[in-house]
Amino acid sequence: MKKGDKIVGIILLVVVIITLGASSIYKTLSKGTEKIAVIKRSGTVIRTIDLGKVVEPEEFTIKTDNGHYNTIEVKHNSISIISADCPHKECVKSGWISQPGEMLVCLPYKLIINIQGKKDKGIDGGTF
Amino acid sequence: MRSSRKTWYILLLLIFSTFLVSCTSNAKPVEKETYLMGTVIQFKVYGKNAEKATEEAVKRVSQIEKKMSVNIETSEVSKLNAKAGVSGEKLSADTYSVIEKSIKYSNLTGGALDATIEPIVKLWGIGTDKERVPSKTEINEKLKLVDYKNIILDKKNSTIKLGRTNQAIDLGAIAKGYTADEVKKVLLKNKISSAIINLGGNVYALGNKPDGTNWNIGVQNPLSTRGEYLGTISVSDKSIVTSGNYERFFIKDGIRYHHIFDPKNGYPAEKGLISTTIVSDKSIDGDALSTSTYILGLDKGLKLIESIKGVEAIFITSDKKIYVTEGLKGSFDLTNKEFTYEKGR
Amino acid sequence: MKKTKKMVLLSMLVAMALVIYLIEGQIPVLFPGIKLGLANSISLVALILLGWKEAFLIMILRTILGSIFGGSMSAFMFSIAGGVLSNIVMILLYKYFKNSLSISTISVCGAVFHNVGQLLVAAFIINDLRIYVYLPVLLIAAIVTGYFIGILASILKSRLEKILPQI
Repeated sequence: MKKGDKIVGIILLVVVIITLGASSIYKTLSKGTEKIAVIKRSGTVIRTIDLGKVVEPEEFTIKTDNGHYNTIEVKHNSISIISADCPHKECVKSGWISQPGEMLVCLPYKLIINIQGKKDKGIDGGTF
Repeated sequence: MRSSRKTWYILLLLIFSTFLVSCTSNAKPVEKETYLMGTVIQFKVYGKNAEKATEEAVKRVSQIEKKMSVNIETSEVSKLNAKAGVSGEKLSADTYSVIEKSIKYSNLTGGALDATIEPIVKLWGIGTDKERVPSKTEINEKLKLVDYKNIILDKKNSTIKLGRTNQAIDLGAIAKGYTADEVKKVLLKNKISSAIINLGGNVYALGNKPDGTNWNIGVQNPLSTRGEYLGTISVSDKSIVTSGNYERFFIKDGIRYHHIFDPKNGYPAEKGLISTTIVSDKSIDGDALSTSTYILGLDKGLKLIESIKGVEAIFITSDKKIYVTEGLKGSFDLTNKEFTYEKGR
Repeated sequence: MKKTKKMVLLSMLVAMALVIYLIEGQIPVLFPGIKLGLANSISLVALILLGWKEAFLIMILRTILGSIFGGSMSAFMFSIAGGVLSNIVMILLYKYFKNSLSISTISVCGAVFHNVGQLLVAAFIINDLRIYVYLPVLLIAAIVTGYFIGILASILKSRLEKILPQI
């Protein structure tokens, strides 16, 4: 161990501690502004994605128990069902959602995707 | 020095405890979303007992579905249908009362609402992978089985019988409304005074928002994707139910066939309306009326609503005109300019 | 060393760096495109044995070739930013502090700045502060991989030192 090593080691340790602290504070402060996409099948959560942390668009496919599928794409702060083998493809036609309160639904496959958080549109519920 | 230290500690404790209190206050609702009755149901419940109330509410919805769903073989309705033309089925108070109410609405709407529509529903199969356009002969054949007057009630024994073989009941036009009312009862029993119940678009807004203001409920734009609203209604303690040609349908050769069948001819109702929204105190009324008025059409529909106290409506025609009944005009805010008002009739 | 021999040696090192780069691309990471930066170990060895120009060159070539073999535009940007920052830091530290810092420390610093560079590019792409929440975990990962790279580089250095004068 050379003498400079200790100094660098201490500097690094301090930096890590500071960034950990700053990061936790930021997380608590920004609670509610995150865009967390929640994917549910028949009411059970099967995946959550922090859309704010998505840098590169990503695609993945979710399959049902009897071989059907929905293909989902996530981009920074938005999510969409880009393809599926359900009969009417209403879920695909719904396009992209990016705001809390918005929802993507594939009824035949009991798939629900929505973004957690307070709706800022001022609408508390909607008919369909 | 010691006493001032003590004061500091007490002060800190006080500040800390006020933090705790405000953090656990009623401001955060219990939001639950699940899949029942063939659709997405959502609850947003405020209050101390919100967690328990919501759990009970979900159980109640599931219970009602098990009794009334025509897609569940062991449901009371399915059993009743299986015995059509042979014998009656003893029913629980829930199912009996819903069928009874549907008959009342059948009488009120001149048969526009008819619970015995199931043979037609099954024939078209909309929403299943067997959906198709049946031939006129097939439709007329099944149409013979559609007549609510063949529903024989035996109140003393809580039994109902269908008069003719192969007749069948489908409570789809009225069940969600009934369920919403039942959920409201569960919430009230748990001392909840502020909540939104949304059963696949059948909304009940209980009380006010925690801050005392009205709930804002969006009215679905029938020509756009789910979640796109053309306006909002500001309400408190009201049911808002919409029937539209966009909820369940298929398109063949450029023609849209939707799921709201006219019991008079066995075809999807085409009277110029693409969506009907009913605002009422009881959701079962809203559900029944939104379906019936869709089938009756604009003129008869408006006439019917205006003859019932405490019920208001928004009708949207295929040429993007909106008709709003008197009592709702102050609380409906149209936000999509593609649609134009037509004041009154 | 004669020119051709140097070129051959450099190409070999680039090839090694490229292989490491492609293999480490298979390791699952926080978000697609970022890398652990293990390939920088080759640049570090080159820095010590040949000089800073060679080290830098190897990094550039490795990144460009690596992107031709697969990888998105953003993966390329992550690698360039991470590589450049990491190499500059290692070059400077080696030049001015090689007597007071061990190779492991230099490579840890290089790894740290490699990840900082990648994070900066990500922040630039999505223009969202939230991405910085990854900073602590990336720093810790860098310290670990940096140490590992340092050991790798040491081994490579001692092996190559013996072979090179004989060529």
